[in-house]
Amino acid sequence: SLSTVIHRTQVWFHGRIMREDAHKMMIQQGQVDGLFLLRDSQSNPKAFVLTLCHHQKIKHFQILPCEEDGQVFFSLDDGATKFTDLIHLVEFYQLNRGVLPCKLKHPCTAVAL
Amino acid sequence: QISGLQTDEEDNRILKVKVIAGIGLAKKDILGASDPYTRMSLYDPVTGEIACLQTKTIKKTLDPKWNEEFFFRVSVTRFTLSTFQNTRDDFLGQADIPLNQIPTENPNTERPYTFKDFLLHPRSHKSRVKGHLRLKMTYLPKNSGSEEEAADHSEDNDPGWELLESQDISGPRQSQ
Repeated sequence: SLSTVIHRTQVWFHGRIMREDAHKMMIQQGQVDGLFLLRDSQSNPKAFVLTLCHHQKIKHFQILPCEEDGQVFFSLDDGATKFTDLIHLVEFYQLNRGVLPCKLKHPCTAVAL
Repeated sequence: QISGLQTDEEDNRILKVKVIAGIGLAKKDILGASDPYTRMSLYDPVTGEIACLQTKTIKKTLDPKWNEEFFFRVSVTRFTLSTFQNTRDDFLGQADIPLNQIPTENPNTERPYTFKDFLLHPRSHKSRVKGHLRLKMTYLPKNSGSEEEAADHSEDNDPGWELLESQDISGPRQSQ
Protein backbone atom coordinates (compact mmCIF):
# COMPACT_ATOMS: atom_id res chain seq x y z
CA SER A 1 0.00 0.00 0.00
CA LEU A 2 0.98 3.65 -0.37
CA SER A 3 1.77 4.06 3.30
CA THR A 4 4.49 1.41 3.16
CA VAL A 5 6.34 2.98 0.21
CA ILE A 6 5.56 6.73 0.36
CA HIS A 7 8.79 7.49 2.26
CA ARG A 8 10.92 6.16 -0.59
CA THR A 9 10.91 9.58 -2.24
CA GLN A 10 12.27 11.36 0.84
CA VAL A 11 15.87 12.61 1.02
CA TRP A 12 16.36 11.02 4.44
CA PHE A 13 15.39 7.52 3.24
CA HIS A 14 18.22 5.30 2.03
CA GLY A 15 16.60 1.95 1.47
CA ARG A 16 18.70 -1.17 1.84
CA ILE A 17 21.98 0.27 3.03
CA MET A 18 23.99 -1.55 5.67
CA ARG A 19 24.48 -0.27 9.20
CA GLU A 20 28.18 0.31 8.42
CA ASP A 21 27.28 2.48 5.42
CA ALA A 22 24.87 4.48 7.56
CA HIS A 23 27.76 5.06 9.98
CA LYS A 24 30.05 6.21 7.18
CA MET A 25 27.47 8.66 5.89
CA MET A 26 26.87 10.12 9.34
CA ILE A 27 30.60 10.57 9.86
CA GLN A 28 30.99 12.18 6.43
CA GLN A 29 28.27 14.65 7.30
CA GLY A 30 29.92 15.73 10.51
CA GLN A 31 28.05 13.72 13.19
CA VAL A 32 26.15 16.80 14.28
CA ASP A 33 23.39 16.40 16.86
CA GLY A 34 20.10 15.48 15.23
CA LEU A 35 21.62 14.21 11.97
CA PHE A 36 19.39 11.33 10.92
CA LEU A 37 18.42 8.89 8.22
CA LEU A 38 15.99 6.03 7.81
CA ARG A 39 16.74 2.73 6.10
CA ASP A 40 15.36 -0.75 5.67
CA SER A 41 16.09 -3.12 8.53
CA GLN A 42 18.64 -5.81 7.67
CA SER A 43 17.16 -8.29 10.14
CA ASN A 44 13.42 -7.79 9.61
CA PRO A 45 12.10 -7.24 6.07
CA LYS A 46 9.02 -5.41 7.35
CA ALA A 47 10.87 -3.13 9.75
CA PHE A 48 12.90 0.05 9.32
CA VAL A 49 15.71 1.64 11.26
CA LEU A 50 16.19 5.24 12.32
CA THR A 51 19.88 6.08 12.54
CA LEU A 52 20.43 9.19 14.66
CA CYS A 53 23.50 11.09 15.78
CA HIS A 54 23.68 12.55 19.28
CA HIS A 55 26.75 13.68 21.25
CA GLN A 56 29.03 12.21 18.58
CA LYS A 57 27.42 8.80 19.00
CA ILE A 58 25.47 7.04 16.29
CA LYS A 59 22.36 5.25 17.54
CA HIS A 60 19.92 2.95 15.83
CA PHE A 61 16.23 2.68 16.62
CA GLN A 62 14.10 -0.05 15.15
CA ILE A 63 10.79 1.07 13.65
CA LEU A 64 8.34 -1.80 13.73
CA PRO A 65 5.05 -2.13 11.90
CA CYS A 66 1.96 -3.11 13.87
CA GLU A 67 -1.49 -3.80 12.53
CA GLU A 68 -4.67 -2.52 14.10
CA ASP A 69 -8.11 -3.03 12.51
CA GLY A 70 -6.44 -3.80 9.19
CA GLN A 71 -4.45 -0.57 9.27
CA VAL A 72 -0.65 -0.66 9.46
CA PHE A 73 1.09 1.69 11.89
CA PHE A 74 4.79 2.30 12.48
CA SER A 75 6.24 2.82 15.93
CA LEU A 76 9.66 3.02 17.53
CA ASP A 77 8.40 2.88 21.12
CA ASP A 78 6.35 -0.35 21.19
CA GLY A 79 3.18 1.28 19.94
CA ALA A 80 2.85 4.07 22.50
CA THR A 81 3.42 6.54 19.64
CA LYS A 82 2.47 5.35 16.19
CA PHE A 83 2.01 6.67 12.69
CA THR A 84 0.39 5.56 9.47
CA ASP A 85 3.54 6.22 7.48
CA LEU A 86 7.20 7.08 7.98
CA ILE A 87 6.77 10.65 6.73
CA HIS A 88 4.41 11.38 9.60
CA LEU A 89 6.77 9.63 11.99
CA VAL A 90 9.68 11.81 10.88
CA GLU A 91 7.54 14.98 11.01
CA PHE A 92 6.56 14.13 14.59
CA TYR A 93 10.10 13.48 15.78
CA GLN A 94 11.28 16.68 14.11
CA LEU A 95 8.93 18.46 16.53
CA ASN A 96 9.02 16.12 19.56
CA ARG A 97 11.85 14.27 21.22
CA GLY A 98 9.67 11.47 22.59
CA VAL A 99 11.87 8.50 23.55
CA LEU A 100 14.79 9.71 21.39
CA PRO A 101 17.90 11.40 22.79
CA CYS A 102 17.19 14.47 20.66
CA LYS A 103 14.85 15.67 17.91
CA LEU A 104 15.51 14.90 14.25
CA LYS A 105 17.13 18.00 12.85
CA HIS A 106 19.27 17.41 9.79
CA PRO A 107 18.42 14.79 7.18
CA CYS A 108 21.52 12.84 6.20
CA THR A 109 21.39 12.93 2.42
CA ALA A 110 23.00 10.57 -0.05
CA VAL A 111 26.75 10.94 -0.47
CA ALA A 112 29.18 8.89 -2.50
CA LEU A 113 30.95 6.49 -0.15
CA GLN B 1 6.14 17.34 -4.40
CA ILE B 2 5.41 14.58 -1.94
CA SER B 3 5.76 16.92 1.02
CA GLY B 4 2.86 18.97 -0.34
CA LEU B 5 0.70 15.91 -0.80
CA GLN B 6 -1.23 16.10 2.44
CA THR B 7 -2.29 19.71 2.66
CA ASP B 8 -2.01 23.13 1.15
CA GLU B 9 0.76 25.38 2.32
CA GLU B 10 -1.61 27.99 3.78
CA ASP B 11 -3.40 25.44 5.85
CA ASN B 12 -0.37 23.77 7.36
CA ARG B 13 0.55 24.79 10.91
CA ILE B 14 2.40 23.51 13.91
CA LEU B 15 0.01 22.88 16.78
CA LYS B 16 1.29 22.87 20.35
CA VAL B 17 -0.86 20.83 22.73
CA LYS B 18 -0.13 20.84 26.41
CA VAL B 19 -2.01 18.09 28.20
CA ILE B 20 -2.28 19.72 31.60
CA ALA B 21 -4.62 17.66 33.76
CA GLY B 22 -7.70 15.55 34.17
CA ILE B 23 -10.27 16.96 36.56
CA GLY B 24 -12.74 14.79 38.46
CA LEU B 25 -12.43 11.67 36.36
CA ALA B 26 -14.86 8.80 36.85
CA LYS B 27 -14.12 6.22 39.51
CA LYS B 28 -13.46 2.85 37.90
CA ASP B 29 -11.54 1.06 40.57
CA ILE B 30 -13.40 -0.24 43.59
CA LEU B 31 -10.64 1.22 45.71
CA GLY B 32 -11.57 4.62 44.35
CA ALA B 33 -8.53 5.68 42.35
CA SER B 34 -7.34 4.91 38.85
CA ASP B 35 -4.05 5.12 36.96
CA PRO B 36 -5.10 7.41 34.12
CA TYR B 37 -3.33 8.48 30.94
CA THR B 38 -4.41 10.49 27.92
CA ARG B 39 -4.25 9.13 24.41
CA MET B 40 -4.39 11.52 21.49
CA SER B 41 -5.24 10.68 17.91
CA LEU B 42 -4.79 12.89 14.92
CA TYR B 43 -7.33 12.13 12.18
CA ASP B 44 -7.71 12.99 8.58
CA PRO B 45 -11.40 12.37 7.80
CA VAL B 46 -10.46 11.11 4.33
CA THR B 47 -7.53 8.81 5.08
CA GLY B 48 -8.26 8.01 8.73
CA GLU B 49 -5.94 8.04 11.71
CA ILE B 50 -2.55 9.59 11.04
CA ALA B 51 -0.82 9.51 14.39
CA CYS B 52 -1.57 8.29 17.88
CA LEU B 53 0.36 8.91 21.06
CA GLN B 54 -0.08 8.91 24.79
CA THR B 55 0.99 10.66 27.95
CA LYS B 56 2.59 8.97 30.91
CA THR B 57 0.39 7.14 33.39
CA ILE B 58 -0.22 8.90 36.71
CA LYS B 59 -0.81 6.48 39.56
CA LYS B 60 -3.81 6.38 41.88
CA THR B 61 -5.67 9.57 41.19
CA LEU B 62 -8.88 10.95 39.71
CA ASP B 63 -7.22 14.35 39.16
CA PRO B 64 -4.05 13.48 37.27
CA LYS B 65 -1.59 16.23 36.38
CA TRP B 66 0.39 15.37 33.26
CA ASN B 67 1.80 18.70 32.09
CA GLU B 68 3.15 17.12 28.92
CA GLU B 69 3.64 19.03 25.71
CA PHE B 70 3.35 17.72 22.16
CA PHE B 71 3.79 19.31 18.77
CA PHE B 72 1.94 18.26 15.64
CA ARG B 73 2.12 19.43 12.08
CA VAL B 74 -1.54 19.70 11.13
CA SER B 75 -3.87 20.79 8.39
CA VAL B 76 -6.00 23.33 10.26
CA THR B 77 -9.15 22.90 8.21
CA ARG B 78 -8.91 19.18 7.62
CA PHE B 79 -7.58 17.34 10.66
CA THR B 80 -9.27 16.63 13.95
CA LEU B 81 -7.69 15.75 17.25
CA SER B 82 -9.41 13.25 19.51
CA THR B 83 -8.39 12.69 23.10
CA PHE B 84 -9.19 9.64 25.16
CA GLN B 85 -8.90 9.31 28.89
CA ASN B 86 -8.02 5.79 29.84
CA THR B 87 -6.69 3.57 32.52
CA ARG B 88 -4.99 0.37 31.52
CA ASP B 89 -8.31 -1.45 31.48
CA ASP B 90 -10.99 1.20 31.31
CA PHE B 91 -12.23 4.01 29.15
CA LEU B 92 -12.76 7.22 31.14
CA GLY B 93 -14.09 9.57 28.48
CA GLN B 94 -13.18 11.34 25.28
CA ALA B 95 -13.18 14.82 23.79
CA ASP B 96 -12.91 15.79 20.13
CA ILE B 97 -11.05 19.00 19.52
CA PRO B 98 -11.71 21.14 16.46
CA LEU B 99 -8.51 22.69 15.15
CA ASN B 100 -9.93 25.79 13.49
CA GLN B 101 -10.45 28.14 16.45
CA ILE B 102 -7.16 27.88 18.25
CA PRO B 103 -5.14 31.08 18.75
CA THR B 104 -1.65 31.59 17.40
CA GLU B 105 0.99 31.98 20.05
CA ASN B 106 2.70 35.34 20.23
CA PRO B 107 6.35 34.49 20.96
CA ASN B 108 6.86 37.80 22.78
CA THR B 109 3.90 37.68 25.13
CA GLU B 110 3.14 34.15 26.08
CA ARG B 111 0.04 33.89 28.22
CA PRO B 112 0.63 30.89 30.42
CA TYR B 113 -2.88 30.34 31.74
CA THR B 114 -4.96 30.19 28.58
CA PHE B 115 -6.12 26.65 29.04
CA LYS B 116 -9.52 25.24 28.26
CA ASP B 117 -11.43 22.50 30.05
CA PHE B 118 -13.10 20.02 27.72
CA LEU B 119 -16.06 18.04 28.97
CA LEU B 120 -15.42 14.33 28.67
CA HIS B 121 -17.98 12.43 26.63
CA PRO B 122 -18.97 8.76 26.58
CA ARG B 123 -18.35 6.73 23.44
CA SER B 124 -21.34 4.42 23.87
CA HIS B 125 -24.43 4.21 26.05
CA LYS B 126 -22.52 1.86 28.32
CA SER B 127 -19.74 4.33 29.15
CA ARG B 128 -19.96 6.00 32.51
CA VAL B 129 -17.77 9.06 32.32
CA LYS B 130 -17.40 12.31 34.18
CA GLY B 131 -15.01 15.18 34.57
CA HIS B 132 -12.93 17.34 32.28
CA LEU B 133 -9.68 17.35 30.41
CA ARG B 134 -7.63 20.54 30.73
CA LEU B 135 -5.62 21.42 27.62
CA LYS B 136 -3.68 24.40 26.43
CA MET B 137 -3.47 24.67 22.67
CA THR B 138 -1.85 27.23 20.44
CA TYR B 139 -0.46 27.38 16.94
CA LEU B 140 3.13 28.40 16.59
CA PRO B 141 3.64 31.54 14.51
CA LYS B 142 4.10 30.75 10.83
CA ASN B 143 7.64 30.14 9.63
CA SER B 144 8.86 29.14 13.04
CA GLY B 145 9.96 25.75 14.24
CA SER B 146 9.18 24.49 17.70
CA GLU B 147 9.96 27.17 20.23
CA GLU B 148 13.31 26.07 21.57
CA GLU B 149 14.65 25.92 18.05
CA ALA B 150 13.51 29.33 16.95
CA ALA B 151 17.14 30.21 16.26
CA ASP B 152 17.83 26.97 14.45
CA HIS B 153 16.64 27.42 10.88
CA SER B 154 18.46 24.45 9.48
CA GLU B 155 16.16 24.14 6.47
CA ASP B 156 16.69 27.76 5.58
CA ASN B 157 20.37 27.09 5.13
CA ASP B 158 19.66 24.83 2.20
CA PRO B 159 21.63 26.52 -0.57
CA GLY B 160 18.82 25.86 -3.03
CA TRP B 161 16.69 28.35 -1.16
CA GLU B 162 19.21 31.10 -0.61
CA LEU B 163 19.04 31.85 -4.32
CA LEU B 164 15.34 32.60 -4.33
CA GLU B 165 14.00 36.13 -4.50
CA SER B 166 11.93 37.26 -1.56
CA GLN B 167 8.63 37.16 -3.49
CA ASP B 168 9.13 33.43 -3.98
CA ILE B 169 8.98 32.73 -0.27
CA SER B 170 5.32 31.86 -0.54
CA GLY B 171 6.16 29.11 -3.03
CA PRO B 172 6.33 25.42 -2.20
CA ARG B 173 7.26 24.73 1.35
CA GLN B 174 10.66 23.35 2.07
CA SER B 175 10.87 19.64 1.66
CA GLN B 176 11.15 17.56 4.78
